[in-house]
Amino acid sequence: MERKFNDLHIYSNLSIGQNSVADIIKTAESLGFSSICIIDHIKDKNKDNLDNLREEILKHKTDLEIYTGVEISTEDPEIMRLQIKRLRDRADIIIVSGGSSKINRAAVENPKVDILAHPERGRKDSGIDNVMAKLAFENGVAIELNFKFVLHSYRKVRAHMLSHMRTNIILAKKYKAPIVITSGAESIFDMRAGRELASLGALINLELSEALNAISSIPEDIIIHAKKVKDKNYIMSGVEVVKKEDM
Amino acid sequence: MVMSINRLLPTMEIRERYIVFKIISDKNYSLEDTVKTIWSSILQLFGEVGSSEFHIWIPANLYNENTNTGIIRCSHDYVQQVRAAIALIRNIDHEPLIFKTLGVTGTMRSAKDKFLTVK
Repeated sequence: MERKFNDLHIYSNLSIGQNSVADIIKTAESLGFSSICIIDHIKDKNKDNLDNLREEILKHKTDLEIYTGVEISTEDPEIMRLQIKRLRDRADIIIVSGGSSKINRAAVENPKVDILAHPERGRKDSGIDNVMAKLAFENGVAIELNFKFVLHSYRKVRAHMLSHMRTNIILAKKYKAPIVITSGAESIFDMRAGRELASLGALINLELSEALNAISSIPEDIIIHAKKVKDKNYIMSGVEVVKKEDM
Repeated sequence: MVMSINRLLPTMEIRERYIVFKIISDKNYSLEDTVKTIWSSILQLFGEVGSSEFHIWIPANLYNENTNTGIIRCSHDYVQQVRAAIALIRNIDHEPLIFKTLGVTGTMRSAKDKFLTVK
């Protein structure tokens, strides 16, 4: 069976990206993706632009499955929790922009978060430790390997970035936390085909099959899990309200 | 008389793979620019000693400037490394572009037949 590739982290010009939704769809089709998620970047307490994004997506006819998500970028865990509460029902996927220790910890502790993006950004260490990796597994929060940061860095910075990613992969593999590879594209020229993203993962401590899963089956699981969490009957992992007729 | 060296023993031969690539861009790029960019990306990512293991060769006659498609030959153990290196190319002459791998084949003939022949 042929693998279906999914890129869960792309920005359009309705957020911080440079290209229109139409351009993104065209490029994703030519790169052979089966689904993509267009992300709205929300800084601190700002309001989202999800309705406009969804309207824009509906204008285009395509075979691609297109999801909408938000990336919450803040330094305050309390604001992060409030934004998640407000947006969980409206967005398909919730990404928390990692970097600071407080946010990384708060994100992996929260089962309503789908992806912790770039936990190593702007740090001198990898951003997660063994406790956080264990929490990520327990709460089903995927650790992201963001291709954009590798693409836009050079020499020393890129080497540091890759070495932090290696540490995160070792931790995630040891504690069985899900790893997801995304392009993090702000422009269509940051997008790459699924196998290319996987080959980059295969260079840094991932087996090729694991790297391919990180861009195909794990994103699919995240989408399925996110749909489940949005359901009103869902309370927590393993606890759901079941109607009498269904039993 | 031209002296030639003997071929390597069959067991010692390097097994090769052919990566067919396409540059997604509005512009057309010359062979010279493309080869220079591919090599600089591979050297930047893996260094001189690292890339010496890849046995890279980019056949000039198979690069098509009109369609921006070509072939990179490399050792079969290092396909992922070469793929990653060409995925990290962002631009040629400050023009942004996407390097896409169309496929990987075991022989040059199948690379030509499958990906480079206009049907």
